[in-house]
Amino acid sequence: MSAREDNSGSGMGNVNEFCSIGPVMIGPSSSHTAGAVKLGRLARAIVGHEPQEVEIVLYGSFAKTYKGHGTDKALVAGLLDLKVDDERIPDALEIAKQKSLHISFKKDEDLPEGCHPNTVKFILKIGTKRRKIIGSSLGGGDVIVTEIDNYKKLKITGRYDTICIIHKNRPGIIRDVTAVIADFDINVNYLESITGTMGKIGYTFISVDQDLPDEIVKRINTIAGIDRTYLIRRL
Amino acid sequence: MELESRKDLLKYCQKTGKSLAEVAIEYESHLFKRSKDALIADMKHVLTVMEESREKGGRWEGKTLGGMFSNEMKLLQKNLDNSTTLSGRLLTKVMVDALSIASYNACMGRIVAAPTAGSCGILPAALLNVRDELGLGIDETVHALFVADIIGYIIAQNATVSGAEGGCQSECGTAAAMTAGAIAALKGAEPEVMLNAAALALKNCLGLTCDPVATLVEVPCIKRNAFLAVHAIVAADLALAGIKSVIPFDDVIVALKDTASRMPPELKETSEGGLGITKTAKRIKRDLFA
Repeated sequence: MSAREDNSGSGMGNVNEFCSIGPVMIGPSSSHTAGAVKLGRLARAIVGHEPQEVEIVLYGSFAKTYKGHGTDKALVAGLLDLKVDDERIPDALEIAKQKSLHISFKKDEDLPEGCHPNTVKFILKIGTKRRKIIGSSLGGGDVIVTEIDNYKKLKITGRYDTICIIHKNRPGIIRDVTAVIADFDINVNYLESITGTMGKIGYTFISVDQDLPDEIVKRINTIAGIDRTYLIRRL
Repeated sequence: MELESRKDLLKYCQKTGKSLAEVAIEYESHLFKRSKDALIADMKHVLTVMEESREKGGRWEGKTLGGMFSNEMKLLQKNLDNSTTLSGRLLTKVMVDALSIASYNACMGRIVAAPTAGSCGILPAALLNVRDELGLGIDETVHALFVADIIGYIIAQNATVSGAEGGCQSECGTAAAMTAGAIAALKGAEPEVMLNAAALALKNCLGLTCDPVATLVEVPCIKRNAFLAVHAIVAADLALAGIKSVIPFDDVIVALKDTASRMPPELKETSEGGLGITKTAKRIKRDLFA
């Protein structure tokens, strides 16, 4: 078990949250500030570490109102892995400069298809790699990442530990992966497998109720046909 | 164990002889699968942040992000110091603190959403000042926060606490209901009185729309926090005097849901109606987002 707050298994990502009191957060807005921080953190969690360069494209309501909600600062704060209640959030742009994290912002009139009005696209540069992540802030601090690179219609909320597996398609591979998860007595709450359009390579995203032990990556990697496995830790 | 209404809460309090706060802590422990001690420790942290937001909120300089408020609570503080306000000392302090915390939120200050960021000034302003006035300690204050929390929960479960779905009656109305219950709790009230206070507070916010200028959490939000923090104390005073809400809490929530469903989207956090479409608002929006 990872040494995090004792609320694993309840889906509660934040000990600062009760039924109607909380979260503790930097204002002014749950959707345009706190939600934006979470999107930045989730993007960072997905690529695995802090990028060197990021292009941030704002859509819809994010694009119109970011100045009044500090959305730009919040998004960068998240990329720096600051949490929603970190008092350094208003200084995120300066902190990014000091760390030589290059950020550029763009606004786009046209919302990506099917997306919520508060949507952002991150293009993150890590070494020679470029990763694309599209996510939305749904209100009340809830967020969702719907696209990672070319994989669309995803539902990664940051509320749960998520495994991403790149594998060759073969009968039984999903069964083999979920069997390993079951061995750890962990419950799957979301599974999206994208195989068809990628030819012989499949991508599967699995979110789980309980926190994942680090060793599960090694175990899954021993399964025949698995190319790579990586964890997206819950926020 | 299911406590999803005033009826459920009162029945359980009666059956167990526990206070509403104790019942709230027990229920949340069950809902979140966390120990009571852990929950109480976290609520103490929430209380600390509320205190800090009041303190820092009273001191900030400059303008809010959208420029629509510039620490005007100091003007009211001045009148408090000169004893020239018509509202008594307690209520004026409550107003100053509500303005401080709500405006601090609009400066990217650290606050506690209760239930939302837009209504964050209401609960702490009233709670901390009444607590100070009555000379109560941490335990009573934390218990009052749990009463507030369960009241907000009942509203969220049966209607909505989101401005986009229910208008300001859902956000600030809920905050006022939570606060009224918490204030009654500080005065050692019975569960029924606390829920009466919540009903009175919520009922008198029905129909309140969410029409913020330029979609920001500044106008009318910041000053509205001052109005509703006082409103909550009015509700508590009525309930503590034995005045009952003819429409009980559960029914008021039904009314909240009904009213919300009849509210057009232009009056639910879109800035496309009411204050949002006034000449002044349009000019502010144009200048801000040019």
